[in-house]
Amino acid sequence: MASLPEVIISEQRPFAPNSDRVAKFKESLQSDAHHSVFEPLSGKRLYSKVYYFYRQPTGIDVDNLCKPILDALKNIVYVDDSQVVLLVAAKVAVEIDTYQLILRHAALEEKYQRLLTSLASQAPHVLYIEVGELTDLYLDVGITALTP
Amino acid sequence: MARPADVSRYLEEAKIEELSREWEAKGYKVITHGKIGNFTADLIAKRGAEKIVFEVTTAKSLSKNREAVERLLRAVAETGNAAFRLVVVNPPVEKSIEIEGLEAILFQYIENNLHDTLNELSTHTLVEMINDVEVTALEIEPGEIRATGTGIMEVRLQFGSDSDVESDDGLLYHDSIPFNFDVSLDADDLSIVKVHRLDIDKSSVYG
Repeated sequence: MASLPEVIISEQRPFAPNSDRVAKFKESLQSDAHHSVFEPLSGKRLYSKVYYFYRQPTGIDVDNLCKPILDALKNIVYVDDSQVVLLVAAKVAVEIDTYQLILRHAALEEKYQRLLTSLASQAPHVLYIEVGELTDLYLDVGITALTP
Repeated sequence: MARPADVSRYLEEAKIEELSREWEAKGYKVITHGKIGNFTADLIAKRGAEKIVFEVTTAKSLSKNREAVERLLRAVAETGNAAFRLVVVNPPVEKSIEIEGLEAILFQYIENNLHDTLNELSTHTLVEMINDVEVTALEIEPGEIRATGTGIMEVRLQFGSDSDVESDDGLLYHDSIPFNFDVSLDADDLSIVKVHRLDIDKSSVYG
């Protein structure tokens, strides 16, 4: 059975790879990650979920959102970001979009509580980053994958 | 005018109804405002051993009700056999697009160019006013603004000649006629450069 995923919840504003402020963002995110993660995952195949909840739009695209985050978590959450073979990313305008947070795992309740606290706190930016081990790759094809 | 709290509650209840229908259609037994321990969940969907607990909130309500949601999440986690879904709904964002003087611009164009169309409506049709113009799409290019939208034309419809009307053989009445427009305006003086489409809903007169 796969172990529990690592979860990092951060209220840092993300920046695109070409931004002047990306280095500072990565440092701050690394600091948040150090508080959540004990040692890097060693699995050969990892998945990652990156959900960016914002109250203040920044215009960042989801592809630009992910790269600095995956880079920053090297040697903290995993040894190398090449271990991540599956990535799910979303950006959510929390006061505009309709969305469902699907909280399936009782063992992650503490992380879920922290996410709820951040979302309810009026924080302008909330990042939920989850990284876990994959056994087999399940590639759901079609819109059903996005509307469970 | 509805208070924000009423709007939030309305949105939440509407979403609960929508979710009920959706999960019933998927073959789940659905209970609205069901109990989880000592707490009430907006909706519980069950199928066999599977149980999904839904709490519906607006982003604004979540800030106020965070502790209640967290307690419910804890209660769900303690059952050990249910998933929890937090459903966040938000009121639609109203967009406001205003082009100053667009009513007058459309009025002038219609009055000067649509005699034939207007006179199909009655013997003598007089446009008295254009109002309720709503721009639904706007494209801005150098020197030109293309606006698409709807409006209402207040018209006086006269059937028969003036003397017919005076002798009660004719008919005179006022009507409001919807229309759709798609026009390009000069970006400097907002004069109409081109009319791509201007459809008058004649059915509202004859219907």
